[in-house]
Amino acid sequence: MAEAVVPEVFGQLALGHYLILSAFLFAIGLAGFVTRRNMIVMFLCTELMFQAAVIALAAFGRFHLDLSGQVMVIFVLTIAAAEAALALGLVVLLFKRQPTLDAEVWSEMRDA
Amino acid sequence: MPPASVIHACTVLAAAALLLLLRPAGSPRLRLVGAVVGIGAFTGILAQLPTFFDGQVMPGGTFFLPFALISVISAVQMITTSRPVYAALHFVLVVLASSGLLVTLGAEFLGFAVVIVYAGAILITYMFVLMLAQQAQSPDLEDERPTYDRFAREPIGGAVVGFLLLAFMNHLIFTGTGELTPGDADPVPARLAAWERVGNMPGRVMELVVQVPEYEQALLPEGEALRVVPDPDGLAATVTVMLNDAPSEVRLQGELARLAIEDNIRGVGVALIEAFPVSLELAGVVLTMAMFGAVILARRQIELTEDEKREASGLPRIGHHDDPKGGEVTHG
Repeated sequence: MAEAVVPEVFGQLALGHYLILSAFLFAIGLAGFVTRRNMIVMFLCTELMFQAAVIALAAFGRFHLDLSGQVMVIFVLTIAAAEAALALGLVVLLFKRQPTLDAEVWSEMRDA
Repeated sequence: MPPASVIHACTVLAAAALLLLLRPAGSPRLRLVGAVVGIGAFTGILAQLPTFFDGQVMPGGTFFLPFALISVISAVQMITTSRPVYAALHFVLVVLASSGLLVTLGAEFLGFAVVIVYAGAILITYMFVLMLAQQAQSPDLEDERPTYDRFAREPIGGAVVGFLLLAFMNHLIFTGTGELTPGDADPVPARLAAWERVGNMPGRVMELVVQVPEYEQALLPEGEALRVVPDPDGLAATVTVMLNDAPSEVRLQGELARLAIEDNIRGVGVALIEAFPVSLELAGVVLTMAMFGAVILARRQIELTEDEKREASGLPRIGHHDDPKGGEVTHG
């Protein structure tokens, strides 16, 4: 029943499907990091890239039937949490000096 | 292998679509064209895959495409919206969709952990900082929002950089993954590894043993380690336990091994402790340092005067004079 709704080509998945999705998310995250000027949204884009890595790791782990991929995801989560804490601390610090979230304000950082 | 030109054409189309969607936004019709072209390019690349990858079936089936579309569409909306709060909410959608994908991949624990850690903890922190930084200014009018949210910086450069990387990764995926051997092509090593993993957990083995009829009263052998001897094909294993004060050999069948493999939370936990103990400690150190770093970065910087510093360290205050160098110590 459910197979009929979705085109036949997507009925069977290969590892490549998950990797392509992960690559797309990573590319979108990278493009977002370059194009957005709001510091908080820039850090959100790095979280998007982490999420892409999570999908790729879990897909590889399932493909090889090896739980190491999922363990790596746990470490990625750890690093993402640490990165979020430090990045947001930095944003708060910068916001206290100049009350704007525009990253370009900080493009020249000599003795600020 | 489909012609490389088709894949790269799809990548270029996706880049063009992102460019149409990025700010400064064109007319709504242009954005609609961008969305349609982008979704078409994404599914177009996906549709190239199954024609030449046979025998590498991954789970997911019908559920993959909806989750994939939700996550990619929300990711694009996240980097194109002019409201930072909406960007954070779209990222929550990405996290929820990818947690659905994790569940279909058999990583149930991670599916929940990602929602709890990302959507629950990290995103709430982002929201707090967003609200701290944007004190009560959420104008509904497009023109009243800050310019750094309304206009993209280097939209062409960003799209080119991101999608050059995507083209390279697509090339690697299309040429490389066809040669990989999936884990279930030869399930014997996986089953043997599962038995070995279970064998390191005597309590878990006993849980499996007492499910065997007539062995409900079995006990751990005293003084010696519990030994799990799997058959060469990994479908069953022999365990020596104590039954009615006498050593007795019990056969554990393949169904139990499958249970042992498929218990995701237990498996991830054991793999974490077994294979990466040092990394686990390092993760703890990294989290502690990040906590210290965040506290030190974000704390309120109080400028103490000389007198207050002296008072804090138990020294007598210095009296105020016009010439600070000639200050006399006043006791009191």
